[in-house]
Amino acid sequence: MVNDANWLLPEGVEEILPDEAIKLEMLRRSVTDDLISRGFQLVMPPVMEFVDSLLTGTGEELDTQTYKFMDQHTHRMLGIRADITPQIARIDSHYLSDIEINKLCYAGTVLRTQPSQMGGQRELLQIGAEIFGIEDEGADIEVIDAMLTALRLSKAKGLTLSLGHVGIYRALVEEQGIRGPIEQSLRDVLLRKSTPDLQDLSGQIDIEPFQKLLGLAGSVKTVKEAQAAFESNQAIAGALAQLNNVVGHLSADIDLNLHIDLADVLGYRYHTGLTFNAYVAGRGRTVAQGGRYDRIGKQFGRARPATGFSADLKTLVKLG
Amino acid sequence: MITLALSKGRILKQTLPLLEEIGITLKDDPFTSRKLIFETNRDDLQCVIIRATDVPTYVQFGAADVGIVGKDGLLEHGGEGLCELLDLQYSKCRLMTAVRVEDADRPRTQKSLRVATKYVKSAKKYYQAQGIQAEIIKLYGAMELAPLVGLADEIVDLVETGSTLKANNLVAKEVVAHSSCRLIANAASMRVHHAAIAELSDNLASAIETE
Repeated sequence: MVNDANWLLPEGVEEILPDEAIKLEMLRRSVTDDLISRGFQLVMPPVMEFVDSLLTGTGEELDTQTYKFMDQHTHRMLGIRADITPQIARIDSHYLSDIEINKLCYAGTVLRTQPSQMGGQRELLQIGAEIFGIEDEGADIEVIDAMLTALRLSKAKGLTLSLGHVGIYRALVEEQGIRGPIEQSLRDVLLRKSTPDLQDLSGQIDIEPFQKLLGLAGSVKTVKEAQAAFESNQAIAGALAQLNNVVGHLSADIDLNLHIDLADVLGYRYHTGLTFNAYVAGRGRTVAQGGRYDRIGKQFGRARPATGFSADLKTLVKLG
Repeated sequence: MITLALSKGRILKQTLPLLEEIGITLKDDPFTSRKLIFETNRDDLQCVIIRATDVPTYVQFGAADVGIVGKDGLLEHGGEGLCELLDLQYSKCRLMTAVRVEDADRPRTQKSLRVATKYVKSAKKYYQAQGIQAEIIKLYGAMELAPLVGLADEIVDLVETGSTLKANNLVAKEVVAHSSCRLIANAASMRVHHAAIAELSDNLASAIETE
């Protein structure tokens, strides 16, 4: 059989041609340079690893996103990374375990079995930075600043930064002891911000605090409103105080549209505290994202406070 | 400027008066014009009028910031990347299973059931929850014909009055889902254009309440 379409690439895979490739490379260099100048040390984890360690402490989602194959030598399962962050957490807890504070950055290819949206890419050029060992929100502010600079180096216009804190949802869920399938459907309802569907859960849980939570989105005034709405809960007060500090730091940035969304539970399984997502007008999805994930190092023997961001350089280069 | 995607056809006839009530009118008549993009009396809002099944897709990709679509279409789409802001309370109907009149009282005995439907995802999910292995046959219209000619044992379709079923000697059996029109928004637009979308949603909410 003659294959007259031998130039064709698999779906979700693209070739970067001269015009674009040079821009992509320049952006990679400038963002990496900026991260290094901020004190992040560059590391280069391998593209493939044993599946067991690649997926340690991550969600089911990453499992289905990872390409797997058998190692001819050891007959163990290998995987191609779908996300670099867990690799960085492993490096922190295993190789650099005698250092109290680690600031690491990386840039490399990741593969995903499914593009994150129809017509999306399966091969991304992920860039990011992580800080291990600092518990307070000072580290989150450092990471957010680095993320915003990366976005500005890509010449993105009309930036919106959405801030959330999964600790608020966690406190509300724990208050009522909601877990299992009900917690999952509740989280799904909050993700879709579906007030109508929340009503359907009213037989099983007290939906009142979650209704309040869904209403807590908008300008920075939202933090004050939340403090008034949930004043009796200690855990929530702590989370809001952290948010308030971050907002205080970012409000000096006048070109930034700052949005607060306290019902944002995206990545709830993975994140433990502050979360931040960047959006650009006209792009229907996040262009860079990050947050706190204090638990992940535990599986590698060193539970550490951790926060970081990541973005796809191929997406960033198209923002300019 | 935000873009509102409206579902063509039956839903549109009920949507336009609601928009008018909150002070939004289209500059051209969508029922006679062949345009797809419609300017409104407000310069911060434009409308696109597309097939109901395409509305969630347009909104998911951010090609439209907000949309009005039936819950049935949303269930079929899956709702990923969408916020479902409001139940607009009109165009109410039920997604139901239906069988031939003579099979109405017969319990399902087959190991595998053949089901004809346009609502593949919702049907699959429903039969799975009932513990029934169902082979779903995707059709684009005239579902009612399938059981009559032996193409399927059951159908899953929208039922408003039940008159089409009756005319074809079928009866509705179980409710798969309740549907009505919803206001949806792109998850990113929800943050980038929060004030504009929240205003639209609040106005629609109070318009429905007074009805």
